[in-house]
Amino acid sequence: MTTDRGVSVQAHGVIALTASACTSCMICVRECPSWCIELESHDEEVSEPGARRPRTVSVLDAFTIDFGLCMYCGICVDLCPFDALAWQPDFDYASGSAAGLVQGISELESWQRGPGASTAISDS
Amino acid sequence: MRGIDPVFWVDEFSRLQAQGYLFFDFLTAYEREGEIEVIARVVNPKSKESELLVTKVDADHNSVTSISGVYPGAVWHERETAEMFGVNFIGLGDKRPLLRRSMLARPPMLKSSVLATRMLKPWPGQPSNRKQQPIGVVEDWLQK
Repeated sequence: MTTDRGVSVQAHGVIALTASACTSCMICVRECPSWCIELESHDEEVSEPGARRPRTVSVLDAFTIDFGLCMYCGICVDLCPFDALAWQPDFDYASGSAAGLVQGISELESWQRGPGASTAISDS
Repeated sequence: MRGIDPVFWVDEFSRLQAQGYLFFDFLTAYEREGEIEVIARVVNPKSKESELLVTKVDADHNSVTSISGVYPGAVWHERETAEMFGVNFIGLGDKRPLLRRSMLARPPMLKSSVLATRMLKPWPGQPSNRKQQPIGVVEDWLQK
């Protein structure tokens, strides 16, 4: 299976983030051999009706991947316990500056391939 | 993969070349349990057979005999292995470094070498409430 750009759908093109699935556990940040992932989060208390005490949940504030440092090894994707990170075959995010390769939550989420994905997949 | 006594390292390649292993593929090194080993592959283009040979680098002198006399194509690979792992290839004529501008710092591919970028950039995975060691960084190293 390839995309309409002729790239295998399994290609290590870019890492897509599903921020709602991320629990800010920091496993990807700590295991990254290139130190290219940075994550910021804070704890919030959530009160649920019927619960005796409020629950503490981590809320993701910032998540960045510096694709200028990333070596596309995929360790973060493999280790994420909640599948918040996934490979996507897109590759056209070149930049004229090193800072342009640093992608935040909104950019990383934009790579998710859903029903309305911009890049069509063909069987050829 | 065949382990070769360092004494017979060059002889083994001469023998293989005489047997028709005319294509030199690559030579590099790796570090395992504190010891550096040099690995090289040669191919017989007719039979498509290949041989992958490994030898231990002499720990006292950090040296191994160069096979560039047998396979001239090995010069580039031995130069690279010399600058990246600090291995001294005895008999290698051209010892100019390929990538490193200065040979003052430790060979960068050794596990005991801490890269300059690891000093400059704080580890993004450091927990706020305790000290933790990043993976793949030498044991007694901790960022200030």
